[in-house]
Amino acid sequence: TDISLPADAPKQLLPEKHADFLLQYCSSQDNYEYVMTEYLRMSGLYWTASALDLLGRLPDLRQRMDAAAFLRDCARPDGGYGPAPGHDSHLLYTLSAVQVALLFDLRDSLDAGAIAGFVRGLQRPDGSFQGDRWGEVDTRFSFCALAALFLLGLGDRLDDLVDARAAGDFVLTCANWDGGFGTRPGSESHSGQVYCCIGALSILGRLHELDVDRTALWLAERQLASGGLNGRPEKLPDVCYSWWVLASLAMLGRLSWISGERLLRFVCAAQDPEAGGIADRPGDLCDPFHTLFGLAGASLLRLGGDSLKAINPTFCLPVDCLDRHGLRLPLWTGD
Amino acid sequence: CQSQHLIEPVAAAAMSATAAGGWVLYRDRPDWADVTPLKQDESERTVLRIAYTEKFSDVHDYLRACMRADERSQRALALTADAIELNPANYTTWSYRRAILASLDGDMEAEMKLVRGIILRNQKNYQVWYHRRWVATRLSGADGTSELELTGEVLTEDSKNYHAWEHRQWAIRHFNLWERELAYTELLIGTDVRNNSAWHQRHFVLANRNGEASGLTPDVVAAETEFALNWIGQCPNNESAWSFLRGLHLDTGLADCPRLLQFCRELLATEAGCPHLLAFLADYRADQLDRRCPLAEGETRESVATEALRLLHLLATKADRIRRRYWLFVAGDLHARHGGQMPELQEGLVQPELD
Repeated sequence: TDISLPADAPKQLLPEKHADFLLQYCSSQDNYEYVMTEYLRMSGLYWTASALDLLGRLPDLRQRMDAAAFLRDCARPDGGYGPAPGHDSHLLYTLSAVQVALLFDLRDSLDAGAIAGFVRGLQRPDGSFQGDRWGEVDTRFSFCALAALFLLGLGDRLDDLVDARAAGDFVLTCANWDGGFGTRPGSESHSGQVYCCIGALSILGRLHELDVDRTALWLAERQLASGGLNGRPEKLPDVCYSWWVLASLAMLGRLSWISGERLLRFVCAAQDPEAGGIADRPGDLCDPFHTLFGLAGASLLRLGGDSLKAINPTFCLPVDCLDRHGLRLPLWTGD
Repeated sequence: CQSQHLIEPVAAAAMSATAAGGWVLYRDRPDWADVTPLKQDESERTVLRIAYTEKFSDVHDYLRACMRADERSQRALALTADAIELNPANYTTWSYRRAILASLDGDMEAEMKLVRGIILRNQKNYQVWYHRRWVATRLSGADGTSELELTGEVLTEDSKNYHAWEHRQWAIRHFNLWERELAYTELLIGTDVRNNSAWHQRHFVLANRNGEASGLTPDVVAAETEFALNWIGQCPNNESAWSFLRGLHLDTGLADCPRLLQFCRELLATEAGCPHLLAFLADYRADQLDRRCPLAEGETRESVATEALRLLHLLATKADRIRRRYWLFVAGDLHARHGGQMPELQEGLVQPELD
């Protein structure tokens, strides 16, 4: 199970085109897709802004929108954030809101205490986090909870704010025999979930409790002959897995275990050379989600040249953004 | 929506009734005349005006109004069904629907039917599956077989649907439905031997069906080893089957099962380029060395280490070049711990990537 790269697919990264694509995408608010994705608008804004920042073009977006007002309108009384005005709060969009605030230098407009309260209220006795008041549990939410708290500058107070030990213990129960991680204990290993679990353990400083080589090998085995990475064994490669897998390997200190050159070729082939943007795989429609993760992967590999800023693998934010806010998470050396 | 938690005795069906054949906008429905629809906030912040289809915006204008007033009624319930049909990914709508159902002590049987239909039309949507779970736990007298049926139906169309497998695991645990799942995984493996989800599910059942005690007893491990080897023999280049095999022997160690060595050596005769086979054999040898297992007649630690290094070299230079840095790492590590003759691994390092 794999794809072949079309012979005429782009072979170089096209940063200028992607900036144009991203800016064009968010100003086309009268199309069906924009309307249908309102339920994730805050994340959409984060993907777009983060990608533009990687390309050094965030100022172009800042002048087109009032991010402060959007954040205000999405804040809910329970301290969390919804994806768009009028929507219920959820951990997913609360993390995205914090990421957006950092990118737009609006951290002061966040009520860190209220957000921390919202996050704490979602933790369950077994250490897991539910996404909202209804109770769905997913290791994605463990990551969202811990990452949001860290990005608010509360990283050295995690034990006070939540049951940090239980949070890590729960994540570890989601480890599978193959080295991967799933949504909940027993769930099939999946690259996206692995990223969330490694990210959570990275924030908690507990990566050494893993069989690192086994997990890193599972991740390395996601690479197919086309150079692309998949989410599970025997599934098709997808550009977004470039990020989930690569960032995980970076956090584990094993980035060299995949072929960066071949991966970059896959990402380049998934670009639209006319309108810009990156798709899940060559020939498909582009979107901001895959554009961000394709560029982020290229940045991690340091194969984007000068056109891409350095990116932090845990938080998928430019390193200079974290530096600017005094946020530091030491990269585990893998020993 | 004048009062909170307004409860309407009139059936929802009558309220959503359409005119002969056509869709009636909510703003044209007499039974909704008391509600002032709430338009999307279109401030000057947005660069362009947002233009929805008329039906979409009409439904959502009324939904916004009802949510603002927190109306909990049959007509609001029907309205959420319309909104969900238009955009089933909007979790706020689902959230509101649950709030209404809870207030009205809604008909969970009917709700199960509704969700089933939506799931079959939106099989990869998180919201629908969560809602199904929520309803199933509130349905009195449920025994979970409907969950196995539903996930079975979805998996027939898409045998790797992650949500369906998760839901199945939840139902099996919640309703104690372990007995026939092993057979189900065998059915799916037989249909597509590369279905990683099916192999994973098989491990899940074996490991968890005995509750706290691990289900991987020596008898089970022996039987399941033969099961896996049979499928590997038929299709050796299958990551999932090898992974399942490793999972069986994780606690005891590969070298405790000489059958594995025998099988691999036989397969090597015809599948010398299969990366999973080479890697497995290398791991078997490494396990023998790591745990200082007794070796066969004529074998020494040095000869076993040399064989492992040869396999790793083959992986790095021919069979699995894309991961050569990993194989070189493993080789270097094994050599450092156990010695053995290192093949010309420098060759593997300087050779450029082949296309």
